[in-house]
Amino acid sequence: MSEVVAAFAANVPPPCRASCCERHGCGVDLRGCSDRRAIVDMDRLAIPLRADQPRCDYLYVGEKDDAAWVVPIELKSGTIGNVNEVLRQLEGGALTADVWLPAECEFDFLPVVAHGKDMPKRAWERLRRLRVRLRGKERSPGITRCGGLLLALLAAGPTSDA
Amino acid sequence: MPASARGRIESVDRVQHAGLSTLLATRLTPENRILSDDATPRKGLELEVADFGPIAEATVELRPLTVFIGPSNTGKSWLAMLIYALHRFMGGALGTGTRRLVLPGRMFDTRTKFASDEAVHRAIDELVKALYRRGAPPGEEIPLANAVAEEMRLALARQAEDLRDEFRRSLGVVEPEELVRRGSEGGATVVLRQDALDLLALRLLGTQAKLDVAIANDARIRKEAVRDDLSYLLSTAYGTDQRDEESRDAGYRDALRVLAEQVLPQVFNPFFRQAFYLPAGRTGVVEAYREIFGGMAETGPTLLPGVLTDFLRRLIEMSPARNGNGGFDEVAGRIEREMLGGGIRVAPSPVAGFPKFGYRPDGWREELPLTNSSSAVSELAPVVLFLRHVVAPGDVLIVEEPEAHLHPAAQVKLTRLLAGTVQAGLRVVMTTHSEWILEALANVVRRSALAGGSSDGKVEQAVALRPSDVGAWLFTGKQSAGSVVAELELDDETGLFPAGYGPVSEALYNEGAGIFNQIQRAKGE
Repeated sequence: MSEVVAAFAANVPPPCRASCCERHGCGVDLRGCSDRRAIVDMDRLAIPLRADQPRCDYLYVGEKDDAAWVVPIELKSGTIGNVNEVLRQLEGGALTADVWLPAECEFDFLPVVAHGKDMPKRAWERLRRLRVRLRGKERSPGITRCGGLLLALLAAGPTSDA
Repeated sequence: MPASARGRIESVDRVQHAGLSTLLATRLTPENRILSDDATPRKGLELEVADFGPIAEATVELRPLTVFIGPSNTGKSWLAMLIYALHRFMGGALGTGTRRLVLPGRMFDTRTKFASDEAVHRAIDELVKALYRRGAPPGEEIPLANAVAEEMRLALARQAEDLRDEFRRSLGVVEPEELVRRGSEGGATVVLRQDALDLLALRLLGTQAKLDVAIANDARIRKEAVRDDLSYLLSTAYGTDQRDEESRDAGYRDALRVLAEQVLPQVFNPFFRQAFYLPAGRTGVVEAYREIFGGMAETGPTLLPGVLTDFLRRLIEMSPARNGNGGFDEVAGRIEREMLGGGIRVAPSPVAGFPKFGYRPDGWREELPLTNSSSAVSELAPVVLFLRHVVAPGDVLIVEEPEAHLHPAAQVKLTRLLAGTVQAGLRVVMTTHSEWILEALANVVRRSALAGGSSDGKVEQAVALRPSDVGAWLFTGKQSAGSVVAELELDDETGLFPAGYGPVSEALYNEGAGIFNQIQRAKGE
């Protein structure tokens, strides 16, 4: 396990650890992802956020191509209704990652949203404006239908035909 | 004896020469030939198709507004053309200006032999007695005798090849085998069903065609609708003992035809109403209709689909003198005012027999030919023309891809206006790839929940259709295995018909997000 992932995993309290990313009939498929990973269930009490602070469902930190990836994951079994709320939830995941990642480390970052239903075009337009920040990295979230492959989102680049 | 009855008897000799069918067809005015206006469209009428063309399986409930959605080459237009062909087969009229149906005459022609002469004669005689029974209340309806229903069923079942050939004609299919999906072992079936009763089932295998028909037992004979025609028959060959057996048989056949004209529209409504098809290529056709039609006239029959030649023929037959015949003049005017910014005109052309279409922008004195107008004008011109001149409430307007050449705002507007025509009694079938149209349609359906409940008084003016009046059907599948068709339920949470466009939006979004993220990385963050 990379040093970054190992260091992060060591900071995650055992009650917060999870083995999959699935809730209320929606999830992301981890097939193909490295086993060198730590998954945080963000609904646990030991999460370093105020109780009223919005948070995403899971925080995934794992390796891909010898690099560490930090991935806050928000699951919506229905549609993505309130984009601002989704932003705050993903920011909660980024804040948690900021607390438990080593102070100085190299990583890449991609927030992810999984959703269960078709959305109107204006929802996609709102999503296009959505940006999440973590330690100077600013990202537009990857979006997939419930059950989509996380690896496909991490692999998606500017030349992707996906 | 009333003078009118005397006149009828005096025409007996003419009957013997011209034949009752011909005489009946020419005697009646269009006004009393609007056959199916008193027949309410049947609820829950399903069209089931298997191994037909590119379609492996489809069961579609035909509602006032029916929408076909899905990828290209999945059979949306095939099913739309099949619906058109069924209307053509059942609802074809004898000629311009009349709605007298062709089919009953074809069912009971001079070659017709009854399954049971005695039973049919007795049933018709009893019906006639009932029609003239003293004290019968006005508007009385008489149940259809079993023997008569059976003769109608058998006569219609004999039309299998005619129905198949109408499919071929409308779809532009040369060989009968091409109607059957490639790889199908059992052949193609087309079934019209209601309440688990197969009203009509056509089976196609190779070049063979077999038609099974059921006449629903709720069919009724409305006295007022048939009494004039049967009175006429009574006064001629059928009703007089002096006539020979052949004339009497002809009289019974004509009586059955009169009854069929009353009964079949009830049983197969709305298929006895006229259907009109606006094909996907209408923009080019409306710009070049004279050249196309002129070419067809020179070269004779073409292999063009019947939906296209019929569309052409309607254009050629269009006349300013029939302005307003369509019954949707107001909607046509709204399309002109609100979408086109000008009017679509029909004028007699210097070229003999062909009308001339033009577009006059608001405030202009000159008229532009459609060839010099925008593609949106050419796209909407046929819609305007058909609504103004051709279609009437109760008819069916089939529109392929109404979104073509239109800005999204215009697509939304057109969807609402077409939905308004449905509210006013037109039946509409459309094929579409447009998410805008589907979203606009979803709002039209959702608005129906507010009908009567609006506090601002605006909702009542807006178009709203009940979910039971709208059917959205998604075509999916691979061409090799044939496509399947499933109903799209309006999603309460999203307010959308889940038409499968999500993956396209998602892929585009993720591509854009990936580009943004890569740029961020390249900046060195």
